Amino acid sequence: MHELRIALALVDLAARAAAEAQSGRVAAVSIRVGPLSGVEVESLRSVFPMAAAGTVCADARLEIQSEPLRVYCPRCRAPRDLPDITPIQCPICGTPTPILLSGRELQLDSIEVEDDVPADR
Amino acid sequence: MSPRIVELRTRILKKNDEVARTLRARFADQGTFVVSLVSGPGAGKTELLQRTLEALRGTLRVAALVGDLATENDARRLSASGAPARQIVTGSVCHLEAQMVADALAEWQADRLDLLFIENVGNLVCPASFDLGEDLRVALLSVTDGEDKPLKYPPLFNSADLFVISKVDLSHAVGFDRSAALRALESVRPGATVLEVSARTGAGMDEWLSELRRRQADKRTER
Repeated sequence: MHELRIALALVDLAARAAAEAQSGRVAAVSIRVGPLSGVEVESLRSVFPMAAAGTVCADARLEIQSEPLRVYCPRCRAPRDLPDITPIQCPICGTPTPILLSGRELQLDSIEVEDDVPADR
Repeated sequence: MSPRIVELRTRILKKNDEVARTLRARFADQGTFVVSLVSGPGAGKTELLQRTLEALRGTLRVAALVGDLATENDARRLSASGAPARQIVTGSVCHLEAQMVADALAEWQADRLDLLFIENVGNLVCPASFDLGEDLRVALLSVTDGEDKPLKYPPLFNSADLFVISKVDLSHAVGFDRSAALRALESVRPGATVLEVSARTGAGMDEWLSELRRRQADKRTER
């Protein structure tokens, strides 16, 4: 269940960023995940509320953008998106290539924060 | 209430990556070559490591850290090689993280090392995302695992720099399809070196040991 560790790290980063932005409530957390990141998106989704409970992220939506698995084909001299996680080879000419351009991402892109409503209003 | 977007663009495992970077800098400074081992449970990491430590400890200063959810069994097995070995008990955590390595090393009054091995928790999923500051990540595929394991767990196998097919002495008994395994490894990590080893009989051990010696020496000259 390493997704829980990852969710905890994510909530920690988001909470710090919210504090820096002087907000007490995070409405959304947007992340980017590649197919070779080692993270199962559905597992992450299911443990996120557990990690967020009791924090400023408690009610936050988790928005996950999947990154393509993109390699550089040395033969075509072009970037190629792979339709499947394996084989890691050019889908056009079939040349195997270890050069990954994207696919390992596990990134916090942004958070959406809400400003606290002043108590006298 | 007015919503605002705060752009961050930061690695989620930034903290782990920072600790790993610090470790890597320290290892570079000390001239320690660091090899981590990953595989599913029972692929033979500890056996390979035990034989490796025995073979290298005469000529190189070697040591090992080994992660498991529970028990100190593996550290005991590795200590039998005569090299220093230390257990990292992870509790409920299914993988090692850079901080666990840093903590284990901080408690350890080990002399400067030429080669440090880090045996990860036996798990084909969780260790993939965590950088430990190693120079070389070795994934084991045992002949009893099944040839298609790399295709079932691409992130972990793709994160490795070198492959060891282990327990090759059992190939015939289990009907291991060597070319299917090689195809699977090539499919998931094109171009990576594959070594075929039996720690028990010693088959392929020379190639494995000279690969380690060569890479360790290369790191020395880079300093």
